[in-house]
Amino acid sequence: MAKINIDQEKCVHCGACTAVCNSAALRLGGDGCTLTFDENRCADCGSCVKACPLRAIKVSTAVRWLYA
Amino acid sequence: MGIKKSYEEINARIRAGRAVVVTAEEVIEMTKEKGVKATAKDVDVVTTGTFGPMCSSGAFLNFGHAEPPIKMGKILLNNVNGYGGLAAVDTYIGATEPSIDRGIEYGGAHVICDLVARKAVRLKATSGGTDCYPRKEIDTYITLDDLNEAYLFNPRNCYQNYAAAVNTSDRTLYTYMGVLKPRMGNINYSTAGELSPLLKDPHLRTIGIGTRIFLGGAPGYVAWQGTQFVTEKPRNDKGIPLAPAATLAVIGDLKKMSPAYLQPAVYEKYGTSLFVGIGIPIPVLDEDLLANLAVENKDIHTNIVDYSVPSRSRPVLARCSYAELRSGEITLEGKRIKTAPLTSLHKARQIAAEVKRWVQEGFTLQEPVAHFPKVAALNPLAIKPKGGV
Repeated sequence: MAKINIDQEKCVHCGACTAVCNSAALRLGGDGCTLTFDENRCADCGSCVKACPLRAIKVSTAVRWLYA
Repeated sequence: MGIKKSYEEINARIRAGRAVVVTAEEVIEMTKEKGVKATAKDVDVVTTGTFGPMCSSGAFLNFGHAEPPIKMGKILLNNVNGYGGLAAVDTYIGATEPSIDRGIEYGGAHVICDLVARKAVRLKATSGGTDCYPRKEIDTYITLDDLNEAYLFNPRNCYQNYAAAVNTSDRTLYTYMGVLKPRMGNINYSTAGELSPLLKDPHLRTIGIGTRIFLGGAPGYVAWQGTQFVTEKPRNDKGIPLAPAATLAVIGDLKKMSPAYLQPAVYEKYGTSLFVGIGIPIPVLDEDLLANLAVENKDIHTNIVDYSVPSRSRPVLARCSYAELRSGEITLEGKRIKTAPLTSLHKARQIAAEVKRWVQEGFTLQEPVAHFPKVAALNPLAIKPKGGV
């Protein structure tokens, strides 16, 4: 289950979210220097949501329901 | 005899569709293979690009006159203040201005980008009323196409180098350099490095007033030296400043810009900003210029500065190359620290490729109508008592 959703239309692959991701679930890489998300590494800390200047990252609906 | 080319020769080749145009990354590989002289002979234009948060940005707008007309004093665009001191129906909306209802989550940058996306924006304005401008208030909706003129005018963009940021304190810092975790938890930096326009022409031989550029997806111009412009900073052996130096004031038609290259940003507990896409085609006038254009990330250095010190002059903890920053990790004071950019290399590459396509299709180069001055240092703002000048 993906714990966050990244809006690909909004993401510009700046990398600001990777700075706060302690589990290295969010990384910039590959030839295109694009953002990748490894849901198996995600610690569900939510730090990336507010660190994203494009507001492109949201906690997934299922996770929001679990914590409601 | 060295290679020499003029703007006229290069522009003639562009018009004839014969110009050899490569990006700033491609020219690095070519130079490694063929050497400086052969590459300078073969290549006419090298395209650069950057896409990063540039807070000192904004737009001039002219709304046209209502019936009866109003001399707008207090101006709100989607509840973001626009400047009301420009005669009757002109305003300047700054990217970092927060809205009065949503704060930094929606600011001037969002208004500018909503206009570019052809969304309707609510315009509210009030006035004391005069004999020639009798209306005292207006509440309406505008789109970009309704405006007479709308042009982006950014007083300080495209920094030639910028310090990387780290935080040695015990608390998280929220800055324009993003979130800085305590105890040197991360290092953030902001540049497109070897693709960045002012790093590829470090002595500003081809970039000056009147240079034609890519701005937000449309043709634009360098209008002036940017604010906080300095040229006399220490340089490395490649001639590249080791600290923030030159900047650009840029101008372009907002109506022709694209949402793909102009995007609003929110830095948590700091403020609103605007991601601006800028690309500059640089003519290969001679071998010296080509040598500058072939500089790699490993040859471009910056300082790592401690943002936990609340001072204009923050301590420099180390110096590193952009190749080290790009690697994703740096060792500082014995600690391995994760690095992250704020500038999108992905988008910078797209811009350099787009400018390459423009030039191949006939976008000619404008020689600066005036070169920038040499500036030794910035004036600080002194705090003086009344009469203490």
